[in-house]
Order: sequence, then C-alpha cells, then structure tokens
Amino acid sequence: MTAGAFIFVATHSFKNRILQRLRRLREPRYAISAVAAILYFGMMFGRRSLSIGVGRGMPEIFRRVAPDMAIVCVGIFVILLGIGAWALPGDSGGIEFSASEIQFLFPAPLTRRQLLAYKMIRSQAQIFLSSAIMTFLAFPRSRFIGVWVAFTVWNTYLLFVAMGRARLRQRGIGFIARSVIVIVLINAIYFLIDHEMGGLDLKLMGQHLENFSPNTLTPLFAPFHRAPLSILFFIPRLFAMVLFPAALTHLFAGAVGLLLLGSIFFLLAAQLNVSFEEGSIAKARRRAAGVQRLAGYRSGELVSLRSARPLFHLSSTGPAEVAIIWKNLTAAVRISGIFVLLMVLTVLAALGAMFWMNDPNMFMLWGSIMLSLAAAMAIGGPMMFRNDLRMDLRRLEVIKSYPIAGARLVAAEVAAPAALIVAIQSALLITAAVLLRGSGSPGRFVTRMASPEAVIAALLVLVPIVVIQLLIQNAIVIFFPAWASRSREESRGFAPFGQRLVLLGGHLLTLGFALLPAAAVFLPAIWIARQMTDFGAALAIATCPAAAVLVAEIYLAVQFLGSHFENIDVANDLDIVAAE
Amino acid sequence: MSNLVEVINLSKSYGSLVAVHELSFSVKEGEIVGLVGPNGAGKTTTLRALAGIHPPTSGQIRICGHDLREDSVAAKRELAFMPDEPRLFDYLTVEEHLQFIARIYQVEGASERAEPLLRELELSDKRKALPGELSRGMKQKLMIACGFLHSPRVLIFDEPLTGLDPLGIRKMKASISQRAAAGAAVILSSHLLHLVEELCDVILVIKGGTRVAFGSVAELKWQIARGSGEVSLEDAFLRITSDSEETQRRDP
Repeated sequence: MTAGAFIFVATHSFKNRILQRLRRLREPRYAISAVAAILYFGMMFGRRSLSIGVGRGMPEIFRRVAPDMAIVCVGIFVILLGIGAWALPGDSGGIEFSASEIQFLFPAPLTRRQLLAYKMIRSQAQIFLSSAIMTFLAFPRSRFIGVWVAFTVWNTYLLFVAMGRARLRQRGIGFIARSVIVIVLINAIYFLIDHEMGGLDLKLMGQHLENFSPNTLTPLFAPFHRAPLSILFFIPRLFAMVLFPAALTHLFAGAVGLLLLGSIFFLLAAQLNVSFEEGSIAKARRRAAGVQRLAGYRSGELVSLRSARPLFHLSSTGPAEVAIIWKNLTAAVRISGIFVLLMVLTVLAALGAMFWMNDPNMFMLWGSIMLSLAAAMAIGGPMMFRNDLRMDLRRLEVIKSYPIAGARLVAAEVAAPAALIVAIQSALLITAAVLLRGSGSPGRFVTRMASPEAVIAALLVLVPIVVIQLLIQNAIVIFFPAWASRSREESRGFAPFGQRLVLLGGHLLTLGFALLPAAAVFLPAIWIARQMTDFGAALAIATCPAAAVLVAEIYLAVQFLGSHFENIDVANDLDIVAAE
Repeated sequence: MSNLVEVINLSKSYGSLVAVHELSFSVKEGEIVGLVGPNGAGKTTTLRALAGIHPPTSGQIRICGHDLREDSVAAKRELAFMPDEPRLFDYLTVEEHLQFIARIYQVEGASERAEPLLRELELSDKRKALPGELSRGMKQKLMIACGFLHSPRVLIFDEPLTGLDPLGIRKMKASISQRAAAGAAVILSSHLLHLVEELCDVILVIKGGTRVAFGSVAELKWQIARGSGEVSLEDAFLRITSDSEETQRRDP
C-alpha cells in the first residue's frame, strides 16, 4: 500500500521535474545554456565514450589482462570507500530528507522501515539519471543495467553504514574509535595484499609495464584469483562484473549477486532501527544554511569583517556618485578583506624570506610569478571582485530610485572594483619589476619588461582592460539580469553550467572585439616609435594612443550602459535574484 | 493646494500582459492616497513606475512639476520609495545607511536630521548594527528612516505596515500622518482596508490595471450604498471590484 504511494511520489516528482526543465527551455536563456552545455559535454566525452570499455580500443597487451585490472582497480576503490565510509564523522543516522518530506512524512503513521524504503525509492530518480550519464560517459558495456545495479546497491550500503555509525555511537563507539578501526583495517588489507604478492616491488612492476608482454603482466594478478585475496575481492568482483562485463552472462550474474547483497544491506539497516529523524532534520537545516551562505556571499550578505572601518569618511554633500564608490569599497573591505589580507601577508612573507636568502634565481622566479599574477589579475580580477551592480542585483529597484543619472551611476558602480584590482595589479607589477631588476639578468626578456617604462606601459593598458571587463560584467546585469543571477533551486545541472559557459564565451568575445581597435592603433605606433627610440621607451610611447582608444571605448560604453540602465525593467525576467 | 503627483494615462505592459492601463490620478500636497486592489491588480507596478523604477510603456508622470521621464534626477530628488520588502545593504550599519543616503540626496546637516529620526523609529541603540542583526520590523524601520532623511515632498509606500508589530503600526501611521500634515503627498498600497480607511484621505481602487474607483472613503461608501444604509469600506471594496468584473464580463 505505502510502496504504491512512495512510487507515485517518486515517479511524479521525477516526471514533473523533467517537464519543468523542458518547459523552461522555451525561454531563450535556458535553451541557449542547455545547448551550450550539451555541445561542450558532447565534444568532451562523446568521442571518448565510444572507445571506452574493457578490452575495446586497447592494445592487445592490455586486452588480455583487462578483466583482472578492472577487478583490482574497482576492488581497491570499493574496499577503500566501503571501509572509509565507517570513518565519516556523522553519527546521528541523519538521512537526507527534503524539508517537505520531513513535514509530510515524519508525522505520518509510517514505520522507520517504511521511511527507509521511501528513501530508497525516492533516490531512484537520481540514480537513474546518474546511471544513464555514467553509462554514456564511462561504462557503455554495462548496458545501463550494470551501472544502475551498482549505484543502487552502493546507495543501500551507505544507508546501512549511516545507520551502523549511529548504532555504534549508542554503544559508545565514537568517531575516533571508528577512525582507528578503519585505519587498522586498511593497513591490514594493505599488508595482506603485499604479503600475497610477495612484497610489492614498484621497480619490478615498472619493468613489467615496460616490457609490455601479457606473460609478464598476467602473474601480477594471479594472487587475486587465490584465497585469501579472492575472498576479500569477492564483493568488489561483483561490482567489476556489472561495470565491466566480459559477457552478457557475467553482467546478469553480477547483477543478481549485487541485488541480493543490496537486499541484505537494506534488511540490516532496517533491523538496526536507529532513530534518524532528529539527525535528518538537523541535516536539512545545515543544508539550507549552506545554500543561504552561498547565496549570501554572492549578494554581499556574508560580512566577515563587520567592524572594519570604511576606507574614507563620507560627507553628506558633494558628488552623489562618491557615495556609491564608498558603499562598494566598504563592501569589499568587509566581505573580501580577510582574503586580500591573507594574500598580502603570504606575498610579504615570501618576499621577506627571499630577500633574506638573497638568491638571484629566487628573485627571477618570484619576479616572474608576480608578473604572471598581475597579468592573471587582468582577467581574473573582474570576475573575483563583484562589488558593483552584480552584488546589488537584489537591490536594483532601490538603486534605480536614486536621483543619479544612469551613466554616472554605472561609472560609480565599476569604479570601486576597478580601484581595488588596479591597486593590487600595481603592487604586483612594481614588486615584479623590483625583483626582476634585482635578479641581475639584464639580457633576458623578462628583465627588460621590468623597466619603469614597461611598468607604466603595462598599467596604461591593463587599467582600461580591467575597466572594460567590469563594464562587460555589469552589462550582463543591465541587459540580461536573469543571466547574471543564479536560480536558488537550480544551482547545478546542464542549464546553469551552460549559462556560465555562454557568459564566459560572451565575455571573452566582447573583450576581443573591444581590444581590436586598440591593437590596430598600437601596432603601427610601436613600429614608428621603435624607429626613433629604444624598446622600453617605444613601448611606453606606443601604448599611449592604444590606451586612449580604450578610454574612448570606456566612455562610450558607460554612456550606452547608463542610458539602458535608466530603461531597465527590473521586474521583467528577474526570476531569482538570489544566489547569488 | 497644488498637485505634487500627476499621473496621466499611465500604461505599463510586460510583453503581452497589460499590468496598468490608461491610469490617471493626482495627489495634492498634504494628501494621503490609498492604493487598493486585489492581488495582481497592478498596485506595485504603479508605485514602481511612480518611483522611476519601471519605465512606463506610455503616459506621463510628473513629480513636483518635473517630468519623470525627461527630468528624472530632479523628480527622484523629491520622492522617496519604500518597497514592501526592505532591500538594505547588508554590509553597511544603520548609521552608515543614513550617511550613504544623505550623500545620495545631498542632505545638508544630515547628522542633525538623523538623530531625531533614529529616535522616532527606535533605532538609536541599533546604530552600529548590520541589517543581518535586525528583525524584519527593524529593517522596515531603517528603510523608512532612509526614506524620511531627505524630507521628500512625495512619499511612496508599498505595503508599509507589513512586518510591524501593533505598536510599530501605530507609530508608523503617526509618522505618515505627520509627514502629510507637513505638506508631503503620500501614496501607499495596502491590503489592510481598515488601516487604509483610517489613514487615507482618498482611495484609488484599481483592478486589472485599470482605475475602478477614485475618491474619498465617504464618497466610495456613498457610491456603493446609494442610500441603502451604512456600508463598510471592505463591503465597498468587494462590491466595486466584483462590479467591475461583471461589467467586464458583460462588456468585454
């Protein structure tokens, strides 16, 4: 009776979820994202999956030992994870139920065994989906059935272990005692394998692989066919049989064996009759808090340095845009301050140690690292420092009611992250220049790049590049607010992954287009300047017109975005405004 | 008394959905207008359009004589918008919120103005607190303090009494009445009809984005009762909104 109700909930939830996702594809945002993700995964794994499988597409040498290799590899994996699961810290028996499941099922007249059965049935939708993906990507020979059986039994085993850990706690065996037992067991298994193989000689194993002969490889696996290793690997062998079946009969034999084993695990878990309700409620709360924390970080709710003072005093009169910059800098200090402080301290410690050692090679190494970091900051910085319209996505309607013209507001919003990134970049570039000059290798290209002219030239270009990227990121908020935010209930999956891919692709493409006019000016300019002066000075001179082009682009972009900001409809299409 | 808010044929559509259709009304200096209507009537859309958040599809909005489309900065300087959900900056303290708003609206002597406001809204001992440390009601009060700081001539409230306790509701009503008495034009939306009746001079009933009634509470009641005795505002509201439904059914 109840099983029917459980199956009804599981199947209808699954069906409705799929239908909801499919319906969402009518929105261009989700459709484009899904297509991008499918194309990406298709390109990444499509071709590979066709050739994966035991014995297929392998050299003859491996084809003969492939079944043994599969058993050993899967076996070690299953044994380590299976035993390791007993050392996990959670011992409340808390099984993951959703908030609505807790609300409806816990007060319902159901036994614990029935709740466990519900959990098993409910998890089938996820297992079906994962099995389909894994069959496609990694285990095509399992014909889906093998992966599904393996995942289902593994899931049942983990349920049994969760109940077992809770029962052990009731007997006074806590996390430390369990960890010690697990470590002892794993060591015992290692010594057993070592003993049975006559002492693992890595050098000898290396030679076996180098010689590439079936006759030399086969003896390596012989101990796994004899007791006691054959007994130890009996259950893992079943997993290997369904994941990498040599024949259809192996697949079915392994599946029947595993399903029997799964039934035993379920009966044992039910027999333990552990009170898991309280633990499940606590787990659901922790999960909700975690989701909230992540969303809070994106929207600026997670303040880590609450008592940090604003960087400057804000008077009540003067240009209103300064208030926006002040607000965003205060946000950066209070939200990302610890991260920046740790980074600065680490770099200072490294520099201190290096100056103390006074080694020119270390100077060169660290100078190059700093130079690379400065370059990386040009791309990574605008993604990392989000204290602009991206952070204010949830407050756009309030910000829109302020008496500030759109263009001025957009400029003020990007000014704070730009200032921070440029400050970090300048520090990195200057440090890199000092170190590279200190390395005493004037002939090398990197040290030529360490001249004051080169630093100025780099800053002249990097600053507008950073600002352009910040404008691109803020343009996403203005033109596609729904794309800039992430759904609270759908933070994972194809569509959100595809969304990030599309945004990254769009960002890089727009940046490329924005840099083209500057590059077109820079190339003839440096050629002309090089005719008149040395490389360093020529670089600085040629950078000026290129930077001017970028500044002009920034001005136009700010005006363009500003006018669109004034007409942006924050209610339209902004369906989430969370996570963010 | 001059009109501080003038709405002329305001329409707002989202794709094929018409949220507000040809809506016209005005609010005089010192007047409190209650915007009521069933769920989805277009109240919030109207208020957001008045605050310059949603650009109207067509029509004109004038705030203190400034056209909201043509001269938005001057118009916005005269108004304050308080949304139903307090959207605060989670990383700024109560005091810093007021500093920030003071600069945005160019408030001379902001600290002198902030002190009595903090006292009035019982936020004095929370001045160093972040929004995350405040209750829902306190956040609402902070939002309102930010709105009152620059002494706007037009106040727009979307469900201002949500989340407040009975004492908070009484104080909020007093604050709103006080601002109106000082000459501000107030527009508020609420589902709490008895409070609207108590607080507002004029009521604008909208349904399906169109105006179905506009007048004082007494006028609306008289219109409904038509000499057949006393009716409550609730009765009047229900009859007006259901009448309009019938009219729409008869004459689509």
